[in-house]
Amino acid sequence: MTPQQERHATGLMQHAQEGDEQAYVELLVLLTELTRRYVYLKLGAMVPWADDVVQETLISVHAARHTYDPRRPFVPWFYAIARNRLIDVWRREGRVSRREVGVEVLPDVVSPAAADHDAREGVDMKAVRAALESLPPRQRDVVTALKLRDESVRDIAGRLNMTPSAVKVTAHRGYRALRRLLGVDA
Amino acid sequence: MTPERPPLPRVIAQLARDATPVAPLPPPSARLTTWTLKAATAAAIVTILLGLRPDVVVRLRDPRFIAAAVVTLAIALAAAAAAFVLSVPGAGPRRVMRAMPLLAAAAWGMLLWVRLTAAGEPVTQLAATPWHPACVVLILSVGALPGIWLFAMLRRAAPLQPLWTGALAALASLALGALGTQFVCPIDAPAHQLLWHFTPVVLITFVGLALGARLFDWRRLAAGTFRSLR
Repeated sequence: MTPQQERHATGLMQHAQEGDEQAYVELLVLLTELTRRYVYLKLGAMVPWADDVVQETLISVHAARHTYDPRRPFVPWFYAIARNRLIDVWRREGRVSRREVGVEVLPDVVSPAAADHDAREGVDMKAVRAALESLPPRQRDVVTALKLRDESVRDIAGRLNMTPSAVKVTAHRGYRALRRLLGVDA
Repeated sequence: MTPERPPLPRVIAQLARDATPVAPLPPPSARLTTWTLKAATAAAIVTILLGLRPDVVVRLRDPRFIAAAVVTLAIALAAAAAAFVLSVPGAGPRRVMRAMPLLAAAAWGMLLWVRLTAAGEPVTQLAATPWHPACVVLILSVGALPGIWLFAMLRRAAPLQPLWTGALAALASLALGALGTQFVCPIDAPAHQLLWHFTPVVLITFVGLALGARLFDWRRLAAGTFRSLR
């Protein structure tokens, strides 16, 4: 963060503490970019869960905004939170990766070959397609490519500029979201 | 399982809608002063109510008694200061702050050990020390109110290291409890003080780790804030 950005952020934070919504939005947008850059600098690559760190950092900044002392520099306060959130999400993602099941052994959600069978079993394909449409774009791309176009994890990773494990994590999240949307989650 | 993440613009909009004015928390030094005044008053009152040892005036002229009192007070203040600093993101040199109370606690243990070895065979003395759990009750009684206040004050901040903060808060209140106990318990033998004053303080400090994990779980607090906005 440049000294100019820091002065700007400090001013925005002071206004935010006074309840200025506009200043707060501006600050949160600035912190979004700073957190993304921080994650990139710390990990040396842009990870698919960078925005998870951003979200957790913003929420933590919000919950801790009363602990910022306007007489003290903003940067150490903010980066202490961002660092803590990054470590937290990184550990969580590590646990997810360790629990990860190969996509090839995960149950199919939708596949053309099984469509008739699904129809006989009473699966509402319209609902499945609607649920697919409502997924975030990246998850939709991954799930569709894996399950409707039968693309390999490696191909998808190459095409979407992701790592294979990131593809698996995204697919896993997509399946979870689908199950929830279709009301079949436990 | 992690809940699905909403898009960031929506998160920002939700947080901004909740941008109510907040009063900045006083700096750690001011909060430490407030706590010290309240905790010292409470500890002094409870100590007097529990009954001062009859020879307290004579003891106050004993350098060993004064040294032990100064060291336990130093532990209490250093641990509380560290807990307050850790409860504010980026507020100070965390490692130094964490080390100070541990060094003070080690000095207390060393002081007692030196007195113990000077008085004769340490193991024999320790083995001959009668059970005295009343001192543990005294430490907990004197340290209870300061501890409750300290945990409550820290919970209003944002402790990013919940385990450390919890342990330091427990150490601060227990050290204050040990200081008060010194004015009530009439046994000055170093073996007794090592077994029934120092050891309980060290062991119960570990309970603070669990309390910290439960009371200062920053992830849960932040997640709760966000859920309440939805």
